[in-house]
Amino acid sequence: MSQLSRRAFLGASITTVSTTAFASPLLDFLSSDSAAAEVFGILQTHLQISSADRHLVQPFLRRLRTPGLHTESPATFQAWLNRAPGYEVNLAAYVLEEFAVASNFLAVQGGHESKLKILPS
Amino acid sequence: MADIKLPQNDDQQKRAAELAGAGSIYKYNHDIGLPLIDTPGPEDKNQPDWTLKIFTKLLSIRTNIQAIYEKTGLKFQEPKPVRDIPKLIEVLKSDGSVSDYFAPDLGFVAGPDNRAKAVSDYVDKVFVDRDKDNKGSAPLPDMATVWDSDKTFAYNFLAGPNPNQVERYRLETRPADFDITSLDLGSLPEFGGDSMARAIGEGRVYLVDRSDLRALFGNLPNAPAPNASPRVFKTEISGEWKYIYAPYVAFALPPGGKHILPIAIQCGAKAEGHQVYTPRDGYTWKMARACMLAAHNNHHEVVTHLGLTHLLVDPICMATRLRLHTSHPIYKLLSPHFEGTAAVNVGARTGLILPERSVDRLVGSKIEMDYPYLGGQRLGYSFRANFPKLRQNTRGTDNATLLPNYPYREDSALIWDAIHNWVSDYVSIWYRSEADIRADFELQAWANEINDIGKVKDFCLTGGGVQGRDDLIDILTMTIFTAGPQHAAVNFPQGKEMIFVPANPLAGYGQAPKGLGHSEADFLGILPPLDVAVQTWSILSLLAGVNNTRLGDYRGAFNWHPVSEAYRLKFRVNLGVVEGNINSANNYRRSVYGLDYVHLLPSRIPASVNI
Repeated sequence: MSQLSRRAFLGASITTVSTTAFASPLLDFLSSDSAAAEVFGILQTHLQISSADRHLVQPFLRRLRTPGLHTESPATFQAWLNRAPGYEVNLAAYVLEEFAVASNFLAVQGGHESKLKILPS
Repeated sequence: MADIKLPQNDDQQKRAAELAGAGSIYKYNHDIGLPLIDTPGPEDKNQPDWTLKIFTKLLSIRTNIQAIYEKTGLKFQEPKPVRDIPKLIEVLKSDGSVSDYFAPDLGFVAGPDNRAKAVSDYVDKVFVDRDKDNKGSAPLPDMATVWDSDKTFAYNFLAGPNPNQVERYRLETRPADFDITSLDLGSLPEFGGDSMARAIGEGRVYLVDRSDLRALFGNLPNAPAPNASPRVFKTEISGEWKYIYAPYVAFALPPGGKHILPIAIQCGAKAEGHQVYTPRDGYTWKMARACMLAAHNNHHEVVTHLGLTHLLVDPICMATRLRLHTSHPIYKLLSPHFEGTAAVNVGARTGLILPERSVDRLVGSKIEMDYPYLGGQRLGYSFRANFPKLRQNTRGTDNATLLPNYPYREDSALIWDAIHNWVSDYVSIWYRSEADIRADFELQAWANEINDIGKVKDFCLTGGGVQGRDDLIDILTMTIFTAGPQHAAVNFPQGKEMIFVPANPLAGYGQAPKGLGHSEADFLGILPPLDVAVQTWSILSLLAGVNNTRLGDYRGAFNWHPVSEAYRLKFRVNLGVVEGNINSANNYRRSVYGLDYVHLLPSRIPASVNI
């Protein structure tokens, strides 16, 4: 799987997501390889997540698809994907914030644990 | 087994050397006039589950704050908190303040928009991120629908944030300035045919005396504004006048009634023109209720919550680190009950309770006024006289016929007994005789440190030290009760009963009523402005929204010792029985009050003060 650029990621999402019935296509898109690549890119860029932890991305994305396990609505997320003002910061920061609460990243960062994992929801 | 030893049975030289090491780490700090841990040691770190809960809660709080900015039209001084990658990276790598990132100080809202025009503003402009099913990051608490009844007002004193302040109204000990003997009780709804003489004689009348807040009046940091009386001052940061009251409230149980009801409130000294109001007085009565709650909640945050849980446990934690070796059985027992305490207390002392920070912002009194008052209350608090059942007996609130449906009293007694049984079992393992206690020089030094250096009054009986196994069981039970259940009882109501400001204001913003005939506008004028209501929501959401560690869970500390672990499991089973009993009681309480009392459900009680 090649890692897509953010532009490609956004383009894919825009064509996939319907503005009137966004939920299902969006959730489908979030299951895709291109979404995984984009999210991993964000984690790698900002948190220096190693390639060995790439397998955490799919379970993390599953959380982002699960109602009640994340802070933003699909509509907001879709707006960023549609390049709403500030989308670049919001998209990356949203992924980082959600990853911090979905994983044991903070425990690893604090030296309490050594192996990164997604926490049970 | 080899890991736990009494000092008299161990290598004393080695233990002494290692304890001396603790002495180089732990120092007392007296910045606010009380002996407190200066810097948390390695044993005092919060665990990662705590950090994760803080982060998760703050994330949720920011969502509602953003909604407030976007949907209410309130113009705060500070810009809306937004996502910022460089700052977020600092937070994630532990170099930045997580609360400043997610839920920073918003500043104030200037102008008339800041005043509520109706009570509904406290719903619509504070609990913004909630959907039609009351879900989202700011669900409305049950209190928001029942807050305005006298029954709920009384409930606040029996199951709210400051639930152990009620005492029986006795002619021989009543406050001289609060004489309600001539009140026409029979004219009040639900008291038809009753009289004060009969109700007092039968022991059905109770009071809460908040005239103790007069002690704050002398602590004003600067001269008040020219037109202000001594108990009025203007906060420099908001421009809003805040008022401190020193009121009294009386309650009575109607003949054959299921719960007490408020019958009289006096908002200050008679000599200053304050009169007794009753439920017949319309909005003037509602203003009096708000004054009473503001004073009661001021006392709650400064004394009951901060002073008598956080800052009472702190010197006990300090002495445990200084005087008990890590292999001491009492160290093993207590250390999980201090998890995170020093860290949160140092955080409070260097942030939350500094001038013009959160506590200063929200409660009626200014922080410079609070320190001497807090110090006096904490140092004067008798550790032993406040064992819950003894306290209730002394205050005349232990009779379930004369004071029925008192949730805090009922549930705290169950929890106390469960802890007492567990501690008794545990002590019996390690101390086979009274002589073992007397020979345990670390234990004796520990108790004396708490009593003499930590200034916990009556921690030791006359003669000092620990005087036997029963004595040890009592003080350990009270220590664990204070760190766990008592803190839970006074902390978590912040997110349920106090978070909706009209139900439980933390300060008053208008003068106490004088005369009769006040209006709804006068009542709204007493309640906090909307910027304070938002900040109250934000801070109390965090304080009550992080519930970490659990009573009875020692993070595996006794796994290696089958007898201790068996007793611990017995403790857990007993707590499970208590949970069932409280749930059953709540079915009935719901029918009486329309509210559950959940704060002493064992499944919700942390083991330690960590937030």
